[in-house]
Amino acid sequence: MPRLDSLGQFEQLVLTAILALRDDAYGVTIHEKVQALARPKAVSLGAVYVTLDRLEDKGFVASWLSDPTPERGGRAKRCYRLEGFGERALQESAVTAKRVWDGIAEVWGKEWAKDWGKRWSKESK
Amino acid sequence: MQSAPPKIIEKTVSLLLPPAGREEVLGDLYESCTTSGEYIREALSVVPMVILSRIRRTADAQVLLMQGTILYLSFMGAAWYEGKTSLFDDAGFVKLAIPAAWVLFGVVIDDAYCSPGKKSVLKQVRGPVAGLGLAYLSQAVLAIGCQRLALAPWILFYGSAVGLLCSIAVRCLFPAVTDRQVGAGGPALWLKHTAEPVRIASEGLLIVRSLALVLLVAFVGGEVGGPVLSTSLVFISILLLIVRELRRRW
Repeated sequence: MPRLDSLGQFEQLVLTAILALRDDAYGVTIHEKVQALARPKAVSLGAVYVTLDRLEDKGFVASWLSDPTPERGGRAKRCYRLEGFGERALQESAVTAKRVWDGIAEVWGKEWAKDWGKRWSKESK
Repeated sequence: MQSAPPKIIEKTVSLLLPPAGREEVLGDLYESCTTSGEYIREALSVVPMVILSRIRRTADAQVLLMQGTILYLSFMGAAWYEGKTSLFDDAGFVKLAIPAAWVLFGVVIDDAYCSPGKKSVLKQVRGPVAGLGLAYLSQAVLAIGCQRLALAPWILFYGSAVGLLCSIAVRCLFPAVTDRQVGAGGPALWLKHTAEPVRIASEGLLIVRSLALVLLVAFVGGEVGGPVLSTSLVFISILLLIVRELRRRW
């Protein structure tokens, strides 16, 4: 059984992107999704590849080559799928993030939390 | 991409990328970049990271450490055999590490650039041989530019012969992680432990035996008649081995 490593912030973003993209998760779409999640920070495509390789080594994602397509110059895509361990690691990260959020809200007040919640929902639209 | 990138640029990027990730990275660059300028900029940032990631996946620190130690000890043994004085020269122990480092560099790069899934003994030989080529080249440059750090030719020859043989043996006994299945989803540690050792085919054994023979001839020749006889005997034995191999094939 592999040890369930804790995820780094960028790994969380990449796993979230793969989860959100479902069957359409490959290099370009993952990069776009991660960029959207990490805004306003810029994210390089190379950093996404490195993280995908690392996540695959840890057993959190699996990959396979699809058929070549003309819009890619006849090249194949490497598609990614979240594995069970990846889902568990992401769930643990989400729970930890929720605890952090609750801890902050407890000190800075519920009004602050509501205000930030509104701001984030506006940004995501 | 609105227009295809110039063939020469795409070919260069393709050559620089390790084969294991070439297909998808080239496709992603083609799809995400709209102009040639953007393609080049993106390729310049992506290619080094893909190479480093591949090296991280294929390099086995334990095996590399073993190889590095063996190579260093081979050169040290050769220097000891040639006359201990060279060891205690200025930078005597440091200069022994230079060819060993080049051989390791060749091994790491070769592992990163070999196609995944192909198992052969030649693959175990190619990396150290390429590294040795780089080591000889570096020694030639040092001999011209910085004599202080260059090894004596005989130390280089003996050390590299023993080091090459031992290095290949270590690689055959402890195969690198390059043969793991891409996309298997298993953690690297599992795959490292489940990777089957490469079966030493008759061709591989022939190479190892030939190298051992050449080394023995060089050693005996050097003991009996000095460097001239040793070089001549090595040359003759290599020639005989080539003739024997050609006769076997045709």
